[in-house]
Amino acid sequence: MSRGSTNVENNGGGSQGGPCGACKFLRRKCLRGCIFAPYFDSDQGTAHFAAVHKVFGASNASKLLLRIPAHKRLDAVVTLCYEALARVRDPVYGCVAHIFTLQQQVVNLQSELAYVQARLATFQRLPPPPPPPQPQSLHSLANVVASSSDLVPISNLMMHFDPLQTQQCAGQEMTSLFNPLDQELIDGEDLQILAREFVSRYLPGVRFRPPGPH
Amino acid sequence: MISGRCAACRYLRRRCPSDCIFAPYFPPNNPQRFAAVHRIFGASNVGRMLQQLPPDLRAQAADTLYYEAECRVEDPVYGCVGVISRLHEQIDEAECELAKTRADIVINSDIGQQAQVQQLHDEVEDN
Repeated sequence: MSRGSTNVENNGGGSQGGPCGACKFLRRKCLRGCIFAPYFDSDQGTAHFAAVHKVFGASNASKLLLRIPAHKRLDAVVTLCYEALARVRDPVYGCVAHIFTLQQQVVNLQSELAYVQARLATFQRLPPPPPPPQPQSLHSLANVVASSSDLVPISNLMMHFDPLQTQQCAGQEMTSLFNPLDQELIDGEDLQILAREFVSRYLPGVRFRPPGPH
Repeated sequence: MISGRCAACRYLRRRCPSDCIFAPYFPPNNPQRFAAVHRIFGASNVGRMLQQLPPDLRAQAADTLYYEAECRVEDPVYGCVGVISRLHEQIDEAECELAKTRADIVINSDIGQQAQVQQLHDEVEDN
């Protein structure tokens, strides 16, 4: 979804007096003060609202937005559209597939970091090795320094989401993964621990972009 | 049987039929699970989404719906996108640290090799 589909200028009703994308989809009169009108224009907004309606429902979406301060609603709509479109594309995993892929990437990078840090520690602890030296040329810093990440920048996240990276994963039956969360409110850290457990237990076939110099 | 109702039917205060779509994935000992998905997605949407999937994929779908719902309850504005953003930040930090450490390895290996060259040079001079 691009922010071009939003219509922040209007406070009610669609652009040019017509219904907003949501009311157009719902085939109802777009009243002044329509909660959706600032965020769903009558063009692309209709398609986005269709996904939001299919996944969350108009009533739930409306309640969600009403509970959020007005200055945060645009972000909420963008993220709701992202999740809805991801769920429409992948009815089983939705955007959660992307989360687990990224979580596994973090784990892989941390493992590699631990390895190279251990290697660095050996260089720093031990004296120079005895002759003869290894017959290899000195590497330039440019060759061994990992290139900058080509991951999607956060600012472009909404335009480049790809939650389908686990298509090739094995479909194993899941036991109740979320039982540890019964007792307390989940915080961000618990969600990440949960994601890590999920991907290690149920997504063995997930493929990730290998880190390293490009 | 009233005592055998799943969490969804208990929440919705209705009889739990033998073919209840929710029962396998929303056990009565975890009422919070259905409460979260109902709050965010709505019971009818969840039921419809599960019905449209093959039975062998419904458990995974129910789990990921719960995960998304919990993310949204935790962070009503950003939901799962907040988690994705934080993970991207972690990845960026880890890659940066990795690059620095690799550079340090190169520097240290250069220092080691230069020391060897100097040592050989000294031996040649002594001889």
